[in-house]
Amino acid sequence: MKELDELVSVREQMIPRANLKRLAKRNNYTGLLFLAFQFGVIACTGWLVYISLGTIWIIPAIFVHGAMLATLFAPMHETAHGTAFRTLRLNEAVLWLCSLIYIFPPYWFRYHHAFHHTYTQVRRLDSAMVLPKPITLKEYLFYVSGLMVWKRNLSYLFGHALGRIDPAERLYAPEDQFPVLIRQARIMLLIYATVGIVAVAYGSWAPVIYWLLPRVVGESYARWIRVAEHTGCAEGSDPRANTRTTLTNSFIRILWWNMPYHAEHHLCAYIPFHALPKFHLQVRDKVTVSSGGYFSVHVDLFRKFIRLRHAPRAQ
Amino acid sequence: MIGTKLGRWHRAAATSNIEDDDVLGVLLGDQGEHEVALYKIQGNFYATADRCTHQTARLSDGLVIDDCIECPLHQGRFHVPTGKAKNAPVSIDLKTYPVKVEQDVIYVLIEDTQFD
Repeated sequence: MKELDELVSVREQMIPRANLKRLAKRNNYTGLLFLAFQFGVIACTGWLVYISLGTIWIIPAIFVHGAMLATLFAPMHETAHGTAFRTLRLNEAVLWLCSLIYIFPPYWFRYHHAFHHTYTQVRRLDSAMVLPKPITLKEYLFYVSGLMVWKRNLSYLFGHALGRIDPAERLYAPEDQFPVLIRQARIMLLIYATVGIVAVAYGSWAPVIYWLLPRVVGESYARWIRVAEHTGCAEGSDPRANTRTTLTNSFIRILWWNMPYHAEHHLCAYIPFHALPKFHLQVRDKVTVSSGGYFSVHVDLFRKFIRLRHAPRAQ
Repeated sequence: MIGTKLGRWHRAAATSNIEDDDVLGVLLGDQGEHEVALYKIQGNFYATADRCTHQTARLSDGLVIDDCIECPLHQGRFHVPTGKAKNAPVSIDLKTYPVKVEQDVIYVLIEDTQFD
């Protein structure tokens, strides 16, 4: 597999295996601390929604709460890799919990994301290629709105529950795992239906106000963060060029489980989130780094859109 | 190499070549056609195929966690003594090989039907 061999060869040239092994050590407590902090923040923003009920402040409160719910992508991502915790069962339990809240089928995401790591920025193969070049403002806005994600995920969730596997999924999910995907979708829908029935029985809007509505509007924050990971980077399988690390403040880094160190994560996905800052110090001169934060990455993307719009007229 | 009815014992590595709770990739066979991963876990030696059953990454580049080997590419784990696939994305078990240690040398038994 050409892409895989290139990744391993680049990694071996950049950093000795002994260093990687030291960095790759797992534990349970760091993940639990991060998770506790994250749910603490989510509880606080949920409380903001609660005290804003019946006022105009409910609108910003729901957006803020939704953005915090969207950060659950980070533990879902880390547990999908199996690197969040040393104990496999704890890892799987947190993957399920986050997937349920995030409304992403867990194993579908794991297979989809694994394929993305094999074929990062390889056109027509990268299952999570955000915005292939050339990108336009329209495509960018559509992606950041999160609409595409809801359309795709809900179609897979209901499709799987009905026993349907999309032909595109056959690229990344092994056939012997199709029954697992179908079973997981049915379990998820059963849990959601139970929540709905209980809410209706008690005449409560709580699941809509504290979860569904914020989750829908908050997805755009997750997309806004994720655009910075690969968009505008080189196409092809060289991990030094196809992925971007975005330096940002420690609050964002903790909420996103160090995912902003994305080039390091793609260079060596078995290094757990808590070791990525150390790994960054060892490879920062060799990978693509944006030091100006997320706004800076998005401003650069906007400049590219403008150049793209003017390019045909210049010819 | 020593022949048996089951196959051939291949001299794989010196025991000192593998650290505790680590893995080493070796090529065995006349043409180096068998990619094998050797493990030392809690003082015991094991051998499995070196290629992940999911997308063929080299497991000897991976990480030994307790009695499992974790694939370096997608972090699927296999139970080393049995080769059992423990978690997605791996779902197909890993081939395991019998191992013996004689005079600080690790030998791996590889089936060879032509040898019968």
